[in-house]
Amino acid sequence: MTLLPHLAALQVVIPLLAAPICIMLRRPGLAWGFATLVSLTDFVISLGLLWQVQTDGPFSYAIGNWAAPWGIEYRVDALAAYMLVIISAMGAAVMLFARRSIEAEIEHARIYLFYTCYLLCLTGLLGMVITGDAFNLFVFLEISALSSYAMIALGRGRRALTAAYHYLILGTVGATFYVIGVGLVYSLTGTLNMADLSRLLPQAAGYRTLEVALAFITVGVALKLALFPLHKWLPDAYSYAPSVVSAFLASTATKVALYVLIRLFFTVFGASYLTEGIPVAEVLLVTAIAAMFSGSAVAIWQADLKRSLAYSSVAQIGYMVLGVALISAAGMAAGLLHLFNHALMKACLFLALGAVFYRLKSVNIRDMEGIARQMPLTMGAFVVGGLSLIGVPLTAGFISKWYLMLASFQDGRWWLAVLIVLSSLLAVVYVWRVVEAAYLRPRPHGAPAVREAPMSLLAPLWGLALANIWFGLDTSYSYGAAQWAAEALFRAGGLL
Amino acid sequence: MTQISALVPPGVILMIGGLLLALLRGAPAARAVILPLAPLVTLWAVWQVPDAVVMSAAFLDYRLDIVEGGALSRLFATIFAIMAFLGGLYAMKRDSVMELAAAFIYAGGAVGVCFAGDLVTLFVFWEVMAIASATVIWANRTEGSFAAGMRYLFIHLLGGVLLMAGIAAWVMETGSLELEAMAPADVATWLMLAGVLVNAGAPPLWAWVGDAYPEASWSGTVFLSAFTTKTAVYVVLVLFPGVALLTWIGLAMIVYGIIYALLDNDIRRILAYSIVNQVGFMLVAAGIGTEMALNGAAAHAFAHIIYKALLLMSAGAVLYQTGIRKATDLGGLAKTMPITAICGIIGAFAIAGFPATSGYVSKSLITTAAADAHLAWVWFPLETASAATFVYLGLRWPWLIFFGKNNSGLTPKDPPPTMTAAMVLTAVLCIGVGIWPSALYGLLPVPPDYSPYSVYKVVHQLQLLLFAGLAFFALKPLLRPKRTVTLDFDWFYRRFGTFLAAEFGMRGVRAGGSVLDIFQGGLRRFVTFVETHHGPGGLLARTWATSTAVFGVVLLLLIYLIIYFV
Amino acid sequence: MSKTPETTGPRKSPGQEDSGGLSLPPLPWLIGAAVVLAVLVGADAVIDFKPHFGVDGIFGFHAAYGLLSGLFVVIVAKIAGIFLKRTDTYYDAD
Repeated sequence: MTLLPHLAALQVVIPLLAAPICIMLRRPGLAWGFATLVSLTDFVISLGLLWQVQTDGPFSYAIGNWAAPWGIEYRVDALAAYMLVIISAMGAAVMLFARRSIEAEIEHARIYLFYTCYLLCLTGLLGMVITGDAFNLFVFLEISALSSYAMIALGRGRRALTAAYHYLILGTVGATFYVIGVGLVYSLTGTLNMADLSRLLPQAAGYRTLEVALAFITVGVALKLALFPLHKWLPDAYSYAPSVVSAFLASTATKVALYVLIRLFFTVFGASYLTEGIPVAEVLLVTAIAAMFSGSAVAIWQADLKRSLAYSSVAQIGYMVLGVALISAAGMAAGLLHLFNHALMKACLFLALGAVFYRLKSVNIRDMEGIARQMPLTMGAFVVGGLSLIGVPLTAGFISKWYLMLASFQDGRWWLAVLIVLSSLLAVVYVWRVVEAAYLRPRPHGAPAVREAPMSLLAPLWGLALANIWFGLDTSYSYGAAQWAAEALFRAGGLL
Repeated sequence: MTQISALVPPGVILMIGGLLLALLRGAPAARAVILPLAPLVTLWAVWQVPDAVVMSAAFLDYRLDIVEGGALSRLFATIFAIMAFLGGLYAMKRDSVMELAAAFIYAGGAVGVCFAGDLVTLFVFWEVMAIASATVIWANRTEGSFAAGMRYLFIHLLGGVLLMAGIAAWVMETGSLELEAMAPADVATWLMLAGVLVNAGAPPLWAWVGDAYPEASWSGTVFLSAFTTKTAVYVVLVLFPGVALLTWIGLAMIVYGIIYALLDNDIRRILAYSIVNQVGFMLVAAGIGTEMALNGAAAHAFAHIIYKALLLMSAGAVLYQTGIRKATDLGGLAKTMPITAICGIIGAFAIAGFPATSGYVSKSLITTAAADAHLAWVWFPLETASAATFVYLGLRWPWLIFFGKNNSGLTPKDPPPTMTAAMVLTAVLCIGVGIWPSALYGLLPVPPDYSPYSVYKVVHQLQLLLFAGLAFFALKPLLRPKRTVTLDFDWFYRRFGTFLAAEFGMRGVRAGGSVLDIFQGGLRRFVTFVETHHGPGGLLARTWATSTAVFGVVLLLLIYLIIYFV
Repeated sequence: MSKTPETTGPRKSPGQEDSGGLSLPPLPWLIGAAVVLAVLVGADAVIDFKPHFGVDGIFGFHAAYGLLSGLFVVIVAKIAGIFLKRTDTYYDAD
């Protein structure tokens, strides 16, 4: 017997089953080792799935051999495989970093709970991507959301609790909106299977119910996506959560929400539905541009750097949504590419701040003055991530901006390309503030002496930093996969 | 035999030198070896590049020609490598490793631009230059240099993004990344031209030159003066030769440089303004577009780098020995700093185009090109500008520092041997090119059949300059500097700092203070708006109450519903 | 050691600065300069060249043009200075 046909199920089932085992392990070191092992395994599985899709094309997996549409179907196509690799890779990278950082930021007795929550969250995120069932997606959405509320609440200080609560309320509203939308669609079509839905929905076109459903789903998912102006939960959640959690959520959670949006819009509703009659794409475009500028502008004025990065995430989500909203294969590919590249850069930046916090117990810009002399490697990685965020050539960020601009020009909207590059100048400012403080300012008098972060933090951090450079030079994997996923999506939707 | 340039681009050799310096933390031995050696190896490598693509790589869907040789590339790369050598020698005693490393990476970027065979490679090196040069400014580690460096970087990144947007549009239109002569006709080419001109110090953003260069250290400015504007000239010569608009832009820069230099009091800012003035000559020539004119632009860039470096070395020596940068506090230093004074005077005469200097042999190509093309409206202003250059720099500048009354009361000596040696070498080069122009002419893309030393040319140039000198002596009292600064375009992004700091109490982000200067644009209302909504406690930055947030979500849902229904 | 590039020089009130601008150089210098200038202008009578625009073929044109240009730009700059100059502490409040 071979496990190969069951990879799709294993992808989700392994972390799901690992979570209760993790509770039993109790000891922080063991829990970490186990969670890391699971993450790495999941990463390997996702690569296997990607390979399968690339060689044999998209395939379905019926859970428990119950055929769709009655049973739950897992569906792995190019886009899903691409997302699975990103999520599991980020999970693995973050886990490698997590051990000492988590020890420093979470109470000893609760550490095993963190790893359990992390595994559940990973399960939820992977499940959302792989499932081919609209309601099953909601279930996974809740699994990931509930576990991330818990992870945020594990942060030290009472504000983490408030932030988690705030996120909980808004996240629940978002999920509820989604499920209301799915319910309305179910009332029209009588099915929850995405493939079925995409076949049946065109017949229901024109029903008001469908439009209401789309509105509910759009707002619900946009909330999870932290799309401007529904982003208010994100900065608090990211700034008060433990560093590792911020890095993990920033590089995966919002990305999966974007995936859901793409999946529902392009696969379920069909992109033609978006371009005809309803100005969804235009609405998305406007909010994306607003996010790009507003998010970056707020980031400039934040003294807490995690908060600054959180706002920067809001802006970066704008770029991804912008790519998607162009409703072209090139735009989609650019958006998906940025999704991957942004995961790399944000994980790198948040982990760098995690390393700073490990030594300094603060990520306030005033406390970080002159720190580059004591922590040259950590700050060096931060600078690489920052350059990538700005979109400097030879970094991954440049490739994203390049393709976004090409897609805009291809669409004949050159002003959009100019807006993209102008907004990236705002990133220069908030990245440079950190460089000025850390490199050019003297260490304040009486500031505690700090040392370079330990190797166990530096190694994964620099792994990510180098990945930012690697994917800025060699785009055959990143852009190749994004383009492949985008074209498959458009071909499946009959748009190409 | 494998070409060295096929293994590593010449510019990258310099960059490696810079990185090694940084890694070795500027140990004296490393300095003594790397500072002279890296530029010399680069110079050798520059001359190994044949007139063909020798290094290429696949990137995205394109083939990048990372190293492509050509006469113009070789000319510019040669002078950049020479300049890195002279600058490195001059800066041997500079204690900031950060500055030296950044300066070599910066120079390497400039050499890289010269050999870039496609738009993307060019852009990559272009951005490397922007960041490295800003680092050179910051390395002075003064409050002034932080703020000015950031303003400088911001302007250049703005130019960079315009260029990048233009390149993307161009690729979309033509599918080609090749460097080819183009004319500003559509969005793509206009964006590219705008991006390149920002680096040339063209209006309206020209203020960065005078703003940032004097804020670098005594050695940093020597590097800064050589590369950024001249690479822009190189790119203009490659991409936009003969675009008539450039002539007008160049003339505006010439006028601007003269007036601002005449009014200024900072001995190095005067020189910074004169860079804009001289780059104006080059752009005028690029705009004329005849073979002679393009030759002139390239030759003038070459000559300009030498004499401007010489002038800034002389000014840097004064700054190094006295710590004074204001002309009102200087004067009469020729007695105690004779070598510095002589070198400064040679540089000043060269920039004015005095016969037997490098400036003469290159500038006369440009004026002759204008005359040959019968462009009276170009030729007469150029002659006026030549005369004016002799007044504002050839005579006034040495007078302020080296002659007249010694306002500082100091009796500084000539600087340490390495600095003096660098100055003397540069001065020799300056005179050498002036006496044997054929050496420079031979490097030009199409070696001109031209001799600047016919009797009437020399006589007329001397007439022009010496009688302008007469005007200088007649008006000397008017030319005395005052303790002033001169308003410029940077006013729009500098002046409102005071308002903002006072009105919005931005102490909380003091560490990023100088960044905020950027946002102090003329659009004060906009800034106020952004600050009140985005700043700490602003509507968009505040943590909303959960109920408010939920209400907002529901409201948005309503809006969506309305949009969908309509 | 490099010195700080900040202004450390003594500051004087403007009226105190170098009042020697109006004093003339020694007579031999003046005579020498006058001879040089005269010879340069006189050379126009001897040398042969082809003017490009007509007006530049006039006897002593370059000399006159140089003198006028010198005077012109200084005066223009002075006028511009009335509008553009501020004290050098203008930006210090930033």
